[in-house]
Amino acid sequence: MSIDWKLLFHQLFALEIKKEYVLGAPEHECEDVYTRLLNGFVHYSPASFNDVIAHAMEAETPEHAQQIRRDFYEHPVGRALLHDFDVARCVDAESRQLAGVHEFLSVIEDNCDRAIEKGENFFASIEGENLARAFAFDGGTNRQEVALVMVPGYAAHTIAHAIFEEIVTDANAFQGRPSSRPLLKADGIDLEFEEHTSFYARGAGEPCAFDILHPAGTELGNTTGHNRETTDKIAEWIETLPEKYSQTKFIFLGYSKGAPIVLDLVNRHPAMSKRILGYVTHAGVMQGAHAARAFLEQAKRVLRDVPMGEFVARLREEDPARLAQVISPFFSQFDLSWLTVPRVRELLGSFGVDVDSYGRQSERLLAGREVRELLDGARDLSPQERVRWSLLHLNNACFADRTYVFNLSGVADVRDFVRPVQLGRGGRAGPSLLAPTLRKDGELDWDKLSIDAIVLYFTSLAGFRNSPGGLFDMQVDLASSKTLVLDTRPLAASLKSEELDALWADPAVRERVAQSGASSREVFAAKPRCELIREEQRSNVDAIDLGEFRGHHWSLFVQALRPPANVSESHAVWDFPRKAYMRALLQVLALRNLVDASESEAT
Amino acid sequence: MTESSLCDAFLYRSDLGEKHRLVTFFNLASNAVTYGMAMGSARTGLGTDLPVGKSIAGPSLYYQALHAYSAFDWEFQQQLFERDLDAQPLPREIAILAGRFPKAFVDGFTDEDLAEVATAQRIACAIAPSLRPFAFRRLEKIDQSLSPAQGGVKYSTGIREKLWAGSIAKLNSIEDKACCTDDCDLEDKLASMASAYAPLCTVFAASFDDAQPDKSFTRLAIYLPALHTLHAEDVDDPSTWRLERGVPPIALPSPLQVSAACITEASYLRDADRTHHQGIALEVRRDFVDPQRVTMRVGFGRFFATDSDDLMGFDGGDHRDALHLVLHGNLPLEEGDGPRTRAAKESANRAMKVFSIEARVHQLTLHLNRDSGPENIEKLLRPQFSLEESKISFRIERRASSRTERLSLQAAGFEWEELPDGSGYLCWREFWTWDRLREFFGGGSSEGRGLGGMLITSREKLLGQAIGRATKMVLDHSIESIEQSLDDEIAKIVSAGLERYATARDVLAGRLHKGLF
Repeated sequence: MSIDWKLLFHQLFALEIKKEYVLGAPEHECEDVYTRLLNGFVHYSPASFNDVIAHAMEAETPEHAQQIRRDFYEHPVGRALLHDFDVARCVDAESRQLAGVHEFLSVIEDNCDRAIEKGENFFASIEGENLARAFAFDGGTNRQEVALVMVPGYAAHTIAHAIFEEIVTDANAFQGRPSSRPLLKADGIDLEFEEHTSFYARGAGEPCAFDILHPAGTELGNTTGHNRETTDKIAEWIETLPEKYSQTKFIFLGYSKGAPIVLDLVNRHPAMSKRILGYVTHAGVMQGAHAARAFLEQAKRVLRDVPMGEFVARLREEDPARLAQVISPFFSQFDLSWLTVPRVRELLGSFGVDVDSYGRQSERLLAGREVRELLDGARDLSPQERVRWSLLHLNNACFADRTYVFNLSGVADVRDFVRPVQLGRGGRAGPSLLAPTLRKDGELDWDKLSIDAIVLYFTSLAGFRNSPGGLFDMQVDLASSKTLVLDTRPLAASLKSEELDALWADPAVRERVAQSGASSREVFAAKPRCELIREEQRSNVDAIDLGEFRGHHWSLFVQALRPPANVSESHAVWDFPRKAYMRALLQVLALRNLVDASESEAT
Repeated sequence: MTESSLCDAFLYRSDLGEKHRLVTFFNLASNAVTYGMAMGSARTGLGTDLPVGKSIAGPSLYYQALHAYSAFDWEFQQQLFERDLDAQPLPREIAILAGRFPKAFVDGFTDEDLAEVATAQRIACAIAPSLRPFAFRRLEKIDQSLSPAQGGVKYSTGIREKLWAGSIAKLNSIEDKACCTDDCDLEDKLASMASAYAPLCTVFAASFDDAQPDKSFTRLAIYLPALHTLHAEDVDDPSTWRLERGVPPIALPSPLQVSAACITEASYLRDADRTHHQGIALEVRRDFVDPQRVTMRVGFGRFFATDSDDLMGFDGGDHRDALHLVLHGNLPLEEGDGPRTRAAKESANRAMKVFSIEARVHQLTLHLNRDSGPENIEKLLRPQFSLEESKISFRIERRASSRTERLSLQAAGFEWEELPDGSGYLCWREFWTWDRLREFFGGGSSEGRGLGGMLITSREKLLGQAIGRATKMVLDHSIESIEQSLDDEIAKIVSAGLERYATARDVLAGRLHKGLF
C-alpha cells in the first residue's frame, strides 16, 4: 500500500481553498483567483525539504535563493498536481479498497464543486459528517471517539486567542459549547479561562465521534520555561477532562514549542501512549531554534555564571528602571519581545496604545517566573537539546506501534508583510500591514496595521539571515521543523562543534548512535542524521513530512496581539486560509485513521 | 548660541490647508517607506549569516541601501500612477524641511493642533529616536515660507539664516565636545558624537499632478557633517573616545582595478583647513517622465552662509575638502589587444609609473537606472557613474632628484617645493578634469606642455611621444569602459566607507541606546 501523504494534504488544501474562495468568484475570474491563492499560500514541491534547502544553499545571492525557492514551490509540475483533486495521484488502488476508505474519498470527490458558504460550520457539513464517520471507525464494529488537542507554543499562556481560531470555534459551536472559552479574568498577561472541566462538559452528554480541544491560559503552566512542566500539565489536563472523554483517543497538534511539549508525552507519560493515535507538528521546534541558541549565548555573556533569577533579583533591587532595558536583548528574538523592545513599545505608544499597561505587564513578567525561567525554556528549545531528545526518544521503546508524526512547516516571505495576498480580494496583493496609515478623519487605520506584523518583522530579521537558504517561518528554520529521522543532513550541518562535542560526551547518546555504526565522533558528525537511529529500532514511529505552506509562524492566529479595546474595536487580520488548511489536515488525519484501523483489523 | 536655545524642528508647507491631501501624501509615503525597508531586507538577508556552515554572500551595505531605495522608489511610483480614480488627491506641492533652529524662532509659529501631524510625528520619533525631540510647524501662517518652485525649493532669508545658525551650532558642538579629549559630560559628548553621524538638515520637496502623474517631481537633499573617524584608547571606556574630522588614508580592502588605473588607497580631509565647516551634500532628484532613472549627486565640500536660493551654501571647489583616491596608472593587457595596442599600453604604464596620481572626488554623479527586464516587477536601480557630470580633479606628483629634472617638470607646468631633507624636490601639477590629465599624458595640453615636452633627453622625448600617442589612443578608446568599471569600483569604495561609517554610528547609537553610563 502506498499513500503520498504530502501530495494528498496539498491536494486537499488546494481543493478546500477552491471551495471556500474560488467557486464563489465570477466564472471568468476563477482561474486567476485560484492561481493567485495557490501562489500565495500553498508551497508544494514533489522534492524533499532537504533538496529544496540544498539547492537554496547553492545560491550566490539572497535574491538568487529566493528565485530557487520559487522555482521549487511554484513549479508548473507541482501546480498541475494540485490543480484538480485526483485521489488516484496520491492514494494507490489497494489503499482505496480498504474498509471505509473508498466511501470516505468518494464523498470528498463528489463534493469537489460545492462552494462553501460564508459562516458555514464545517462539522455540520457533508464533509464534516464524512470526517466524523471516518474517525469513528476503530477497525472493528465498535465506534470510537477521537479528539484533536491543540497545544500552542512559546508564551502561549499569555495569549488570549486560540490557534486556528475559526475551526476551534466551529467545533465548539457544533458541540453545543460557546464559540470560545469564556475568559473570566485578564490581568495583562495573566489569563484565567473557564475551567476546562466545566467548559468541555457543556453541550451534548454523549461523546461525539470527533472534537477539538484547546488548553489555554494557566492550564499550560509557564510556557517560557521547561517543556516538561507544560507536558505534565497537558497530561493532567487530559486526565481531568469530563467523563464523556474517558475513552477518547487523541491526536496532538503541537504548534511551535508545543511540538516538543506534546512529543515529550511519550517519554514522561508512557501510559498515555495507547490513547494517542499520532502527532501533528505545525511549525514545530523539532530540531531546535537558532533563536534559543543565540539567547543562551547572549545570556552566558551577560550573566557570567550568575543564575538568571539572582541576576534579575539583584538588578530589580539596584536599578529597577534599567532592568527591562538590560534584559531586552534576551527577548529580541522571542515572541515576547514586544513587551520590552523599546522601539516596539514606543511605536505602540505612538499609535495611542496604553504603553504604561505594557510597562506593568513587563514588570509583572520580571516579578514572575517567565523571565527567571527563560534559560530553562531556551535550553529545551536549543538545537543541541532537541537533537539529543530525538536521538534518545524517537524509538520503539517510547512510541506505540503505528504512531504517526506529521510535520507541517511554514516558509515565510518578508514581502508578504508589505503586500500580503488578500483572501477577500481574490488573492490580489493588499496594502501593507507594517505601514501606519491614516483614515480620512486623521486617525490611525487599525484595520490596516498589524501589531503582530510589527513585532514579527522587527524581531525576525536576524532569523532570515541565520536560516539556511533563508527558508524560515519567522521563528524556526525549515529543516529544524522536521523530525530528525526525515532529515538527511549530517549533524555537522546544523550543530556547532562544541554542541557536537557535548552530545558525543553524553553516554546515553553515544550508546544509542553506536548501534547505528556511529563509532567515532567524526562518523557521528558526518553520517546522515536520519541514519543515526537504526530503522528497526524506530519502526513504530511513522514520521511523515506533509510539506510546507507559504505563511509565517503566526499565520495560524487571526491576530495574536490586538489593539486594546479603548484604542480600536477593529484590528488587522492575518490573511491565511486557516479553515481550508485545517479542513485539509483533518481529512488527512481521518483517512489515516481509516487506513490504520483497517490494517490493525487485518493483523 | 547655546544648544539649549536650539531645537530640532520639521517645518512644512503644503499648497493646501486641506487635511485630506496631507493624509493621502502621508499614506503614500508611509507605504513606500515601509515597502522599501521590508523589501530591502527581503532581498538582502536570506541565509547570509548562518551559525554553522557556509553562508550566502550578502550584498554590501551600499547595495542593501540601493535595494531598499529601489523598492521604495518603485512602490512610490506604483502608488502615484495606479491610484484609484476616486482616491483622495495628493497635495499639488509640499515641502518639508528638517533641521535645527533657534528655539525662539520655532516657538514663534502658531502651533496647530493637527491630529494626523501629531501621529506622524510620534511615529517618526519611534522609528528614528535620534530625531527627537522635535517640533512640527506649518508655515502658511507666517511670512517665511518654503515653496517648491521649478522643481526646487526656495528659502526665504529668515529660514535660511535660522537654519544656518542652528547647523553651525551643531557643527561646533561636534568639534567642541566630540572631537576633544577634555572632560565634559559623557552623555553630552556621546550625543554630540552621534550627531556627527546624522544629517544637519534634510529637505524634501515635491510637486504632484494627479491628472498627469509623470509631471510629478520629487527632490530630496540631505546635508551631512563631514565623515569622522572614531578613536578609542579603550573601547570599553567611552570617556576615552573622540572623533576626528576626516578619514586618514586607508588601504582599500583590495586594490581596485579600473581600466586605466589601480586604486589602492582612499582618504578624506587629510590636509583640510579645519577652520572651515566641511561636509557632504547628497541630492536625489526624481521626475517621473523617465520612470526607470533617478539622479543622485554626492558632493564633498564645505558649508558657508549664503543669501542665494540654496538652503545652505556649499562649495565643492577646494580639493582639500574632497574624497581622495590614490591611483596607480595601469592599463591592463587584454587578450584581444593587438601588438600595437599592447606595446602602447606597456609604454604608457612605464610612463605613468614614475608619477603618483591622486584623484580628488568633489562631486559624484550617479544615474540610478532600473534593470531592464520583461516582467513588470520592481528591479534594482543600478548605479551608473557619470564621469561627465561628476567633478573630479587630479594631482600628479613626482619627486625630482635633480634641479634639471625639476626644471623640466616646471616647464611642463609643475609647481614645486624643496623637500625638507634637501634630498630633492617635490613637483606636482593639478588638473581639473580627466580630459586635461588625458591631454597631458597625450602630449599636449591647453594648460601647459604635455609629457612629451617635459622630457629632456632625446630618448625620453621619443618615449614620451610614443607614450603620448599610445595613451591618447588607449584612453580615447577606453573612456566608456573606464566609466563602466568605475561604476563597480566606486560602489566598492562607497561600500567600504559606508561600512566604517555605519559601524561607528552603531557603536555610538548602541552606547546611547543602552544607556550604559
